[in-house]
Amino acid sequence: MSCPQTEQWLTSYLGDELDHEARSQFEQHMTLCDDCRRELSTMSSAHSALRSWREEPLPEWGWSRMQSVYALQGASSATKPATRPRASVTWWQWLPTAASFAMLILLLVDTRVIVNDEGVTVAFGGQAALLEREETQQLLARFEQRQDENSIALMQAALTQARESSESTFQQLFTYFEQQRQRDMQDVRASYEQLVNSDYETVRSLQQLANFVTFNESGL
Amino acid sequence: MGINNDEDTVLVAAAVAGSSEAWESLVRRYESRIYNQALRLTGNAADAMDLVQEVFVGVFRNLHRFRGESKFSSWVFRIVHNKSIDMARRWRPLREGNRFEEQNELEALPATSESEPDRRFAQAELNHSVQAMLAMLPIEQRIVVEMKIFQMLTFEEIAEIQGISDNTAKTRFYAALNKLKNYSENFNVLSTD
Repeated sequence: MSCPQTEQWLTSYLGDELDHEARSQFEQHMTLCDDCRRELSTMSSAHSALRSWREEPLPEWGWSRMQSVYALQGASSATKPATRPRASVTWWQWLPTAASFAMLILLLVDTRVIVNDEGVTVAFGGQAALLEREETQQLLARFEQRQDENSIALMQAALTQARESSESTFQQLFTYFEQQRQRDMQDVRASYEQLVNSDYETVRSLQQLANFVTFNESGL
Repeated sequence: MGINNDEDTVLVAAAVAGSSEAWESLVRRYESRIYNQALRLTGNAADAMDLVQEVFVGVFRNLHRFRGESKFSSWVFRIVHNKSIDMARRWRPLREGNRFEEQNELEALPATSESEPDRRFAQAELNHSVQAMLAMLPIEQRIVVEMKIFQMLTFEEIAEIQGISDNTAKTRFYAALNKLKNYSENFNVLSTD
């Protein structure tokens, strides 16, 4: 496409925005310009294809729900003609806001709920804090005492167990040493007897050797 | 499209004043037209129904803001335009391109007691082809085509509704047709079979 007027002409023509005079000029241009004629041919077919749309009937789409919403709004606005229609806001939609507000109030007035042996007490402000602090101190003291007692008992049990364990260990060690000593004494005794026997054999061999030498000398 | 603007103005005033009958009349006058717009803009019946509902909720909530300075139909289409762009942006992260889907033609047909199923089926096929063509366009061009070809608005009106210049509206229209011209050749072959 090289005609500089193609886009302008075709946009206006296919957009159906040419008046009588402009349409005449356009038709005249089409007789002279191959580029525009060719482009018009292809674009017209796209245009026609799009215009082949036929209206489709609407399925059921939940109109009744919207109608009820409108009726809710309309009932309140009917008496006030200037009232603008607004989205429906039901009471439960305010619940989270109300709950947050209530919690904020409770926090601001320092509300405390105390549960003890005497029951449940709801208190507001600093007095409750004082009472609660004293009770907390007492509880802490009791807890500390109980912890000390438990620690002492645990330590005593550990010491007793350690002592008994040490006695048993020493007893076993002493028994082992005694057995070892007995075994060593037996070994020493056996070695001594073996040594004595060995010496006796040696003396006897020497005696025989002396006798043999003596015999030989006398024979000569 | 056979909608009288004076009647619209009267109905809107009555609806704002609290008349549920007037509101129902407005809905009945526009629901089919908006549904068909939605079918072309979204490409499938389920999303079109969602768009119809969103549009009417938007109309309902903003009805008091309608001052009658423009045609009610143009004002409604501005809401259709905004909602369809919102919907297209919501889809974009999920699926690159568009949500125009192959759908079962028989399921897409509305349940009516008409006695010409073949004709209706052929027409549904043609409509589906139009949807497929529109699906090739970016949402901005699709909306201009919708406004120009189906709503028959002027480029000046389109520019005003979309908040763009006349030239931008014209450029989008031309670019859309330029893109569709090759596809329409195949379309013509199919439609003459």
